[in-house]
Amino acid sequence: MGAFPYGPAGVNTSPLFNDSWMLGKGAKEQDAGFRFLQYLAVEKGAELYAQITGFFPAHKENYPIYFDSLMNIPNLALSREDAETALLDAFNYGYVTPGKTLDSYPEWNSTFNQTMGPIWNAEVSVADGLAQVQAQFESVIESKS
Amino acid sequence: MVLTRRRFLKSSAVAATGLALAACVPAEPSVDMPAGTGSDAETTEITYLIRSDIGVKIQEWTDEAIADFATVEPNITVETIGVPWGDYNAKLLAQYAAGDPPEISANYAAGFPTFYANDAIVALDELVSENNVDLSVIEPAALDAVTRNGKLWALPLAHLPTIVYYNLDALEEAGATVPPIDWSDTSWTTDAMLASANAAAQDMDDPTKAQYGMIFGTGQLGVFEWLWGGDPFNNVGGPEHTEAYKTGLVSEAFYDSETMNTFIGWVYDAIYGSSPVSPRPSDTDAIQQLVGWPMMSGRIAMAINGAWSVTNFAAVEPSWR
Repeated sequence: MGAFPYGPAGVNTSPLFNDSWMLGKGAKEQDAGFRFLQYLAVEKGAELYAQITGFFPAHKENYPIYFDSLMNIPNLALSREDAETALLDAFNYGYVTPGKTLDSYPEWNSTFNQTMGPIWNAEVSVADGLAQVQAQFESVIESKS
Repeated sequence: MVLTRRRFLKSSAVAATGLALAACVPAEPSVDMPAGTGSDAETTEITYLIRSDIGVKIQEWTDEAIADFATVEPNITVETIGVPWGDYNAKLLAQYAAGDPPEISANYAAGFPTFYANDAIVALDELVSENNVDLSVIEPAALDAVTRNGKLWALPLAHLPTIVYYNLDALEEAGATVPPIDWSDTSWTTDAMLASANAAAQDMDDPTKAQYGMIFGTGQLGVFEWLWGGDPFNNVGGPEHTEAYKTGLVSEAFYDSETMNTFIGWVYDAIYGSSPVSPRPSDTDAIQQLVGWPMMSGRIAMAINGAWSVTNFAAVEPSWR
């Protein structure tokens, strides 16, 4: 694992992903629901999450659990200290990815993937393909307005 | 067997989750308790919308967490409803519209901004305060990601950057520069990565034995354009200039910008240029069918992906470093 490269603009902004849990508005058992949410995010549920899932925990006190499990990966080419640097420093250079910020992301994602296909299959030039992507996004934006 | 409401809901959840995950569902209680008697009399039931097509490890965590929570709060029963990724957001919004939303849902299907935009979730600040929840234990950037208009709308469990994975053996054998761990190392550029990829790439004209230099990708909706100083949803600069990332609502796009053309052209040339280093889509598909994430094949020197892909290496024992 290593750092994201710096691009021609002189930045190495890494898209950040979060997996977060929410309390439904209008749900009947708000207090009990929040109690479970609290358990998942800051109590034993978060500890189990770091132990079991292999995903990097948002709960900082569970970092050691994650890095302990990381060191069990066969043939990992990094020391524990290097792995901590490679992952933790990334947050200083990141920005939240659109999938975690945009309403109706799955729809935008389908639009992007479908219209980029002809470029990746070398069926159109990059310029022509991106013009088609732009037209399709404008069409979806118009349909939503 | 008495089919209590709880058992019916649990059966429904199992059916939706699918047979493949059936073994992960906690064991049924050995004794049936008629509803509304004994220890059930004080029980509060909450529903938790989960993904039915999620990975085995997440399912294992879900089951263990619910089982352990039952020992901490024996009077709160958690019932799960499983739906696949593609239906997750629509299911929650339908439940919300029907006035019967689940107490707990997750951002598995990129749902947070959709739920926020549709006023389907609760701001948590008061509950956090009333219950004396210490949020200082959570990575601030993760909390920022689910804060809108000064209010906290979710609690994050995972926070994952995008990183470069590399095959150290392939890079060392080629004498190529290895990606640094130091994020402030400005010598590690897209050009430097391309040079390493060129050094490591071998047999590129034979997809059956090619070793590819890199898989770069585009990021979600093309946001690796950030490295080139642009963003798909503004015509000024990087993501900090995009209003849609704050409101959730897309009102403009700039896929035909010069910056996007330069970025996509660079990735395209890595596949189809005079000195290709990346697999063509058909080659990527073929490798994926064999090993899942192509990096696991040992035939990719470097690949960009989210930090969640680390879990792939925990499940196998690669013969390379």
